[in-house]
Amino acid sequence: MNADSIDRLKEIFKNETEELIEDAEQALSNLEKDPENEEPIDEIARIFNSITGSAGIVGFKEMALFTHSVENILDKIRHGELKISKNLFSLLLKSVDILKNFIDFHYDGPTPDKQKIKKIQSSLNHFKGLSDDTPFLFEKKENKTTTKINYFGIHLELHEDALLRFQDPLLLLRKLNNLGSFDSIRADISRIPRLQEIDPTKNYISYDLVLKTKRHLQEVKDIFKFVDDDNPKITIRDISSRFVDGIDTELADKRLGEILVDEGFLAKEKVEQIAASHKKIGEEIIEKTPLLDEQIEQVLDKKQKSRIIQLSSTLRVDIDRLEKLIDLIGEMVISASRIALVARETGLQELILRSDELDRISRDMQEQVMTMRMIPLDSIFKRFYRVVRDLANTLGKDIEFHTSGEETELDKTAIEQISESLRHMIQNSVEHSIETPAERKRAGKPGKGNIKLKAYRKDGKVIIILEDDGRGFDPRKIYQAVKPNMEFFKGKIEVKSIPGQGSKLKIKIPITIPIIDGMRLRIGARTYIIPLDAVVESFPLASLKLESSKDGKLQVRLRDQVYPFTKLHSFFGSAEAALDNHDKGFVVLVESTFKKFFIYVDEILGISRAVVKNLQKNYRPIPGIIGASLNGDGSISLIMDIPGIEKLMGV
Amino acid sequence: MNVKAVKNKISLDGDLILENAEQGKKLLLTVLEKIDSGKTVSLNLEKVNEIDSSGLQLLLSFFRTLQERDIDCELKKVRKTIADPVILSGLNKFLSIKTEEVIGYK
Repeated sequence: MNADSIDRLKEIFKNETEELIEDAEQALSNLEKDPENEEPIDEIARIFNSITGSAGIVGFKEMALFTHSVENILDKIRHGELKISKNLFSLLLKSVDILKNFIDFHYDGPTPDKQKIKKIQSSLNHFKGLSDDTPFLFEKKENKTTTKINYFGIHLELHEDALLRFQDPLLLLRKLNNLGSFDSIRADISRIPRLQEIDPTKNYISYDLVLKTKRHLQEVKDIFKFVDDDNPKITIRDISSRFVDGIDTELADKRLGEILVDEGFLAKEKVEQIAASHKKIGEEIIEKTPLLDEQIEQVLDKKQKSRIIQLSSTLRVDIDRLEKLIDLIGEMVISASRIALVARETGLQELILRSDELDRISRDMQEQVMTMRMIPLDSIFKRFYRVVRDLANTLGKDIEFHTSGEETELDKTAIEQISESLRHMIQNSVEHSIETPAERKRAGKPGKGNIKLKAYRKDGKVIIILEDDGRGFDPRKIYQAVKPNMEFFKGKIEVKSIPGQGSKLKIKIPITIPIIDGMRLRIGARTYIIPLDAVVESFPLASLKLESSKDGKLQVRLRDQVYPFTKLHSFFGSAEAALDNHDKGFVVLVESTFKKFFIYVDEILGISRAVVKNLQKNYRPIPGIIGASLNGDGSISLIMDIPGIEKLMGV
Repeated sequence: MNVKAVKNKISLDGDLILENAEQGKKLLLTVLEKIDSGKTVSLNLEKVNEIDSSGLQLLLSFFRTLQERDIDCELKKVRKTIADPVILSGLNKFLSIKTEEVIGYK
C-alpha cells in the first residue's frame, strides 16, 4: 500500500470509529436500563471487535491492544463468566472514553499532546492491572462452562478480500485458541503464488483445525459472528463423539501418511509420491522431507493410543460366556416352539396367540445374540495391504492391492480361522502368480499387477473372492494349506487358475455356524438334518435310474450327468432297508467341497431351522456329524457333515 | 520497511503487516535477484516485531519461490511475537523455526 492509500484508510477508520463510538454509547445506555438483556452486550462486543481489526490494519497498535483487552472482558460477560456490576459498567463507560482519547490523539496533527498521552497511559495501566480476581470490579458468576470437553472440527476459509475488510484469519485463530486449545491444525497454503505473482493484500490461506474446549458450540459460532455474511466457507462441526480421553479414535484407521497430511506435516502430493515409490512410508519420509523423527514419533504415538481406545471402546465379553448365552437362548427357542405346539392342541385361541408371540420373540432374540459374534472383515483386510506391499517390494514386483466389502461381517471364530488362510493365498498370489514388471510386459500385460480382495453376503453366506491378473498357479498347492481351516467352519473353497491370465479363488462361509436351516429327514429309525446350503435337489428314487459303474459302485443318472450314490444306514448303524424297498425312498443331491453326490434317505420330513449343539463339547465327536439339534418334541436330530461323509464313504 | 542483504544473509527491518505488504513484496523481489543458488539463505527477523496474515503469506511465498530454485531458507532471531502466531496457525510446518532462534524462549 502506498502512503496515499494509507492516509485514505486512516480517514475512513476515523469516520467509522466515531460512528461506532456513538453506537457503543447508545448500547451502553440500553444496557444500563436493562442489565439482563444480552443484546446491548453483543452489540458492544461487535463494535470493539470491529475496531480491533481496523486499528491493527491502520497501524494503531496500542489502540488495537486496548480494544482487544476490552473484548476479552466482554466475552466473559457474554459467556456468563462475569456478571455486570456497577463497577464493571463504569469500566465499560470508561473504555469508550478511552477510545475517544485515542482518536483524538492519533488525528491531532503532527505533534502529539503529551498530556493526552499521559491520560491514555494511566487509563491503560488501570486496565492492565485488571484480572478476573480483582474483586471490586468483577463478581464471578456461577461457571457456565461444562466439565465436558468438546471437540469442534472447524474449516476456516475467508474471502479473498478478507484482509482488506479488516478480517484477518489469524485474529480468528487467536480468538478460537482463547476458548481452549487446538488439538490439531492444518494450514492449506497451496494457493499462495510465487513472490512475483502474489498480491500481498489478498487472503490465500485456509485452515482446518480441531478445537478442544469446554465451551459450547454456540460460543464457538459466536467467534465468527462478525465475519461478513457473504462468506460461505466456514464450517463448524461437533466431532466430540470421535474423541475418547482426548484421543481421536479415527486415527487408528488412518494410515501414517494420511495423518501426516491431516496434521499438516506433509503435503498430500508428497505422500502420493512416496506411496508411488513403494517404500515404507516411515523410512521415506525421514529420507526425503525435513520432518523430525520426533514429529513422526508423536504421530505414531497418537495413532497407537487411538488404536488402544478404539479397541477398548467396545465391551469385551468372554467368548465362553457369550456361547453359554447363545446355548441358553437356543434352548429357549426350542422350548417356546414346543409350547406353541402344545398350545395348538388345546385349541385355546388366547394361549395360541401368546405362545406364538413368545416363539417369535425368542427367535428374534436368538438372531440378535448371534450378531454379537459378528465382526467386520476390515480388521483383517487392512493387514493385507502391508503384506502385499512389503512382499512385492522384496520381490521387485509392482502390485496394486484393491479391496472392497470390508464392512461385511462374519462370525469372529470364522474370521480368525480364515485370516491365516487368506494371508497364505495372498502371499501365494504375490510370490507365484503375479510376474515381475519385465515379465508382464513381455506377456503383453501392463507392468503393474493387480490383486483384488472382495467380500459380500449372498444367500446366508459370506463370499470372499481373491483375484489376480498374474500367470496363475497350481491350485493343488493351495488346497493342502487352506483346506483344514476351511473345514473347521464348513467353508467351501473354489479355485480357478487360467495359465497366463491369473487366478480366482472363491470362499463361501456360512454366516453363523450355530443356527442352520436344514432339511430334516429319516434314515432308518433316526432323524437327521442336512444343512440346506449343501442341498441341491431331492427326488423320489423311483423317478431316477440307478446304474452300476465299471467298478461296481452305484450311481444315479440325472440330466445326462452321472453322480455317485451312497446309503448311510449301516454307517449310522440303522437297519438297512432292502434294496427292493427303494421305490419308497428318496434321494437328495448334495454339494460338497469338490463334488456333488446323492444320499439315499427313507423319508423327507421337511425344512426347519436348527440350533447346532456341539457334540464334541457335549458328548464326543462322531465322524460325518457336525452336531445335534433338539426337535420340537424333545427328540434329537443329528446334523450331517457333508464334506466329512464324502470323505468317509469314499464317494 | 527495510531489507538488507549481504550475499545470502538477509535481514528484515519493519513489521510484516498489511500496511507494509506491497513494500515488503518489492523489497524481497529485489533481494531475490541477488541470491546465489545452491546456497542456503538465512532470513534474520530480529527487527520484525509484528506479523499478520499478509506477512505470513509473504514469507511463505518467498520460501516457495526459493524452494523452486532448490534453495533452502532458514529463519534467524525470531521474536516471540512472530513465533507465536506461526506456531498457532500451524505454519511452523512450512516456516520451521528452531527453538534456539527464538528470542525470548529459554
